[in-house]
Amino acid sequence: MADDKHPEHEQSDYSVRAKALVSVLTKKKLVDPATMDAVVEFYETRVGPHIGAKLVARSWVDADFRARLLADARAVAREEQLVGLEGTDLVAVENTPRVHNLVVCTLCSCYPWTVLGLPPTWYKDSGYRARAVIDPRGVLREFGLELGDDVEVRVWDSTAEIRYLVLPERPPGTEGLSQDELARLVTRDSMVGAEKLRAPASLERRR
Amino acid sequence: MNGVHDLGGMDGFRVPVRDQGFALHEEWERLTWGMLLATFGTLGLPAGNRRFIESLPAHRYLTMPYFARFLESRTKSFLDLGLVTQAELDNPEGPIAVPRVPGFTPRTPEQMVRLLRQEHSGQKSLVVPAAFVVGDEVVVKNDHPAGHTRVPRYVRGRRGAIVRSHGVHVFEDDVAPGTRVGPQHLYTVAFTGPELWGSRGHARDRIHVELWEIHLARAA
Repeated sequence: MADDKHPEHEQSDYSVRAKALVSVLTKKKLVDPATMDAVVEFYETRVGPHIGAKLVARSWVDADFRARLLADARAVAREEQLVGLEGTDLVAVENTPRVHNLVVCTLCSCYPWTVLGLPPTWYKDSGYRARAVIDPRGVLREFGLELGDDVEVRVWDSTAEIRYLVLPERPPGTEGLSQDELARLVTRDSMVGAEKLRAPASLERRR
Repeated sequence: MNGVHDLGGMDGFRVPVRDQGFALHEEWERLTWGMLLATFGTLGLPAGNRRFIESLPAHRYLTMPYFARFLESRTKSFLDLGLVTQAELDNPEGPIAVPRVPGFTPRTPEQMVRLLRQEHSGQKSLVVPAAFVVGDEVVVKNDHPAGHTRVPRYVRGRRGAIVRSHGVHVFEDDVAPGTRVGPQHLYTVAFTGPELWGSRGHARDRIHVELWEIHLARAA
């Protein structure tokens, strides 16, 4: 799939180069193709936003857990065996009606892999990285979220090994849902601070 | 270095559309990512790719696909280490030199998954007195080193407040040859919108950056 920025011929050039390198490394027994497959399988299926969503849902129903997560997410991640590359030094920040958090990495693309998986394309985009720190409200507006002047915006630029997880606000009208049902409402982008969560349409109708 | 990778605050870019797809779209991206992590920490390869990526020509950095930066970086490392030759890459079906790494066994899938689930922390259990505590007002030293630094241009010379203290962390900047800067206390420093952006900054915005002790001076 080519996109606007990277036409087909450029993609096919990188395809040739990636295949050539991997082929040579494999013949020299410098890499095991099964290990490469294990890496991709790990990031496609084992880690991803479903992990962060479970933490968020639990933080909505368990005040003690929420307090521990906000005080020391690193320790919680260790207890829950959610450590790994990019995310062992985890910090959780909470959105409230008065505070909205937004995570960025202006120097590269640092992202909490351990709880959200690999970053989406928009997060790695030059435009997001350039503008999130100077005009976070404008970025959020373009993402579809208008914040009032009374809301404090906290931007977190991940320049070291600290990785941030945003705890979005629990959507209204979800009081009767189980923790698993709540986890299914939590989107990847809400845990970066790029959107607020809404109650599912079925719940909105019921209200 | 004052490279184009240091994007914070620059105009001239459009905010992207939020896509819902997965990071690895293309087969070559999967190959690149798999190879990158399967060989990570082996064969004397450099631990990171940032130094190579940050020294890419600015126009290439901005236009090449994301995973291509890693493919080029890792290809160059293999070439530099003499583990592959350009002739082999140009003709992968052609003659291949005998592997030159005696006794090397590539990482197995099981070892890989174990490594991906291990703790990878920047924190060091060193007891070093901290110069700052939460609440302290600090100024970021104004420096523009030619090598790699984690101090974005947009905070250099700016005043902020320490809001989190993370203990002692591995120092990531390049230092002058022959000098050594050991692990340092790491802090999250909060800056107000107007402090960083003047009239374009919103008074209620707080922009947070992690900085090491050596980057900071106590505010007057």
